[in-house]
Amino acid sequence: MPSSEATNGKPHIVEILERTQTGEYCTAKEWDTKRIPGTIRRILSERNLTGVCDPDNPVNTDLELADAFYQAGYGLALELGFLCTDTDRIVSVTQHELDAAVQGAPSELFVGEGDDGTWLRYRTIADPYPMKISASLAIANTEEVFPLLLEGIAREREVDLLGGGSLITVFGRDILSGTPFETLAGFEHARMHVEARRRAGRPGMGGINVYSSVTEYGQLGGYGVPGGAPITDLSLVLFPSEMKIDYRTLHKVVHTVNVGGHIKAASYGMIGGMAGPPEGAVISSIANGLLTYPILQNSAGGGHIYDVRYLANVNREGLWALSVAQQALSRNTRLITDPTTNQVSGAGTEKLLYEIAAGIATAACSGVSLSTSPRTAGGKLTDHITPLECRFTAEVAHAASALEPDAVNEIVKELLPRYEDTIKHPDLGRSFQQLYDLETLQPIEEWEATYRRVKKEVIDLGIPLAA
Amino acid sequence: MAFEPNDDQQAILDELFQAVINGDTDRCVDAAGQSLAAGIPPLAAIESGLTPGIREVGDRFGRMEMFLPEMVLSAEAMQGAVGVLEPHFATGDSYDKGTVILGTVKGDIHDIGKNIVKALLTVNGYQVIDLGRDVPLTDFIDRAEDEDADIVAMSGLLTTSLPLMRDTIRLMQDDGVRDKYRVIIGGGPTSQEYADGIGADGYANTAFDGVELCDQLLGIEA
Repeated sequence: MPSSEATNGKPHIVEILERTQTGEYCTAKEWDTKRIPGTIRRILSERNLTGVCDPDNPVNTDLELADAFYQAGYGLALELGFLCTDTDRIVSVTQHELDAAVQGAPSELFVGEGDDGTWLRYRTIADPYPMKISASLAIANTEEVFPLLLEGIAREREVDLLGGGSLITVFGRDILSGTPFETLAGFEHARMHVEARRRAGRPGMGGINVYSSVTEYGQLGGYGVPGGAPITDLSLVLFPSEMKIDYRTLHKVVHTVNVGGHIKAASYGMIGGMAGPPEGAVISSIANGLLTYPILQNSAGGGHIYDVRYLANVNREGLWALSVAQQALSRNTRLITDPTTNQVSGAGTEKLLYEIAAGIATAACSGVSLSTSPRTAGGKLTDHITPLECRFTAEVAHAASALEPDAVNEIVKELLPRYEDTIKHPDLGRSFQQLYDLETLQPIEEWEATYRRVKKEVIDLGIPLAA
Repeated sequence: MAFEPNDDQQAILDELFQAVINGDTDRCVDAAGQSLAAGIPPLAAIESGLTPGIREVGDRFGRMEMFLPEMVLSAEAMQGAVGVLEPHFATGDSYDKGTVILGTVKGDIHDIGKNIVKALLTVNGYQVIDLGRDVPLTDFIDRAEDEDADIVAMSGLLTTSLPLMRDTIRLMQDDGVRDKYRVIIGGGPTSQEYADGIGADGYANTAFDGVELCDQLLGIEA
């Protein structure tokens, strides 16, 4: 049997699978209601990190505080591990294994092929090397719109990697979870993804796949198979919730390892969820981000934040938690991190662009390597996303990367009043079909004018976008 | 006529209140037993002890002073106590606003949002039958029939799970039971537009909205 010795201390995937059968027994209820919240509460208290969230300063500027959160998250990772919900067994790792996996993880990674590909790099805080953007987060699309939208996003040269959306049907049939329709959808999604890049004149553009299927079937059908997504794309491995994995997740890991791809792994530290307050979500997020490296064998990922009260992370507490988690990982590791920013307003609205500017500038100045964004309209409505906000997302990411956190904090404080009043009940905007000419794949004048107006406002606030 | 507790009875009601807030099922069940022995009418024990406690939990959750794990434990503590009290109800006694059958639809294993909805509905006076996650559509209908439910609430985070919501409603129509229940949906990819499209009675954007929606559908004033 392969041993951890063969991987310089990082556990072999077989050992991880073994631990899902032999680890300490713990029910999901015990895990959710006692182990996670109890441990987080104790660690926050022991380290005097309770109640330090400062919503009035949504971008943290106390970097020693970020270091303290890193130590707390590191301790949480070693103390808890991940629960495998299929077997109710805890998959834990030793300090040596965790250190070996984190220190051995790549600090730079080329995604895509040739001149169209992109280097993802570990970034310091306010690093001049720009944060990269994979656009967009998964948003449901009809089969008619999906290839057009992908091509439209790929045509936006500022966008570094091609991400979402998700198909809702395949050959006109519903994609039912866990059925062969999903296997089929995974392949069709990946095939159209590759085709869209070719049609946009960027055949070597990197991507993240496969979004259209959350179970393992789509991944097996579409990633690393002939005609599907190439292994020069990142393989998307989302796990169901913080500090928990399952066999669906591990199927994707094994498949990606088998075909020789690189994994992007993610789950959110949730404000208001099992981790509790923003401070709890930060250490949960850091622990999640660290544990994926030995357990899910990924090359990128870590530091996700989501506020269950707002279904977003561009509110004050969400931004604060995102900044601290990412600063912590940036200052204490050399990982390629990939958090999302989650907006709630829809395409065609000014508020969406303000939300993007706040979230992306916060991430970019906090040492994030790659952000998968935007999440237009919270992903609520089919085809409610356009390439234009993807362009804006990438422009802000590239322009804000070298800004110091204190400068971005002041900018975000100016941006928040422009959208936070409607964050609970946002205007979901309009669809791709309503905001774009589907023949030319260009935005209608009204949406373009809104974009230009907000872009100027953002420049005036201090984010040096090219005019 | 409103129940007027003596000092000893008030102490037991206070204990029920505090035990719910602390999410301590053993303590809550014990206090429920004490309340019966002390002659407190079961419905009064709920209305003057448990319900104020669980409402306080909901308020603290809204203020971010308590979080999901604590709310789950509080809801369980209350249910434990109600289990002790309910067999002693007088004829016609009823404490809950209605019964909700809740679950994450087949193929979907995400349950954080569903768990928040469950906890918030419980703290707001609903009896919630939680079917868990990855729930086959027939289970929603069978349990609704078994429990004589008022509302069937389906949650889903995946676009690939949405058709199961539609199919559940269709199956209810085919079985001739659709009009017996209010059907509501929620979760990441759902929307009012989708709810309207599949013939659901309502859609909730957040868990808090879900409580308002249930009240509204059952004609209950907040």
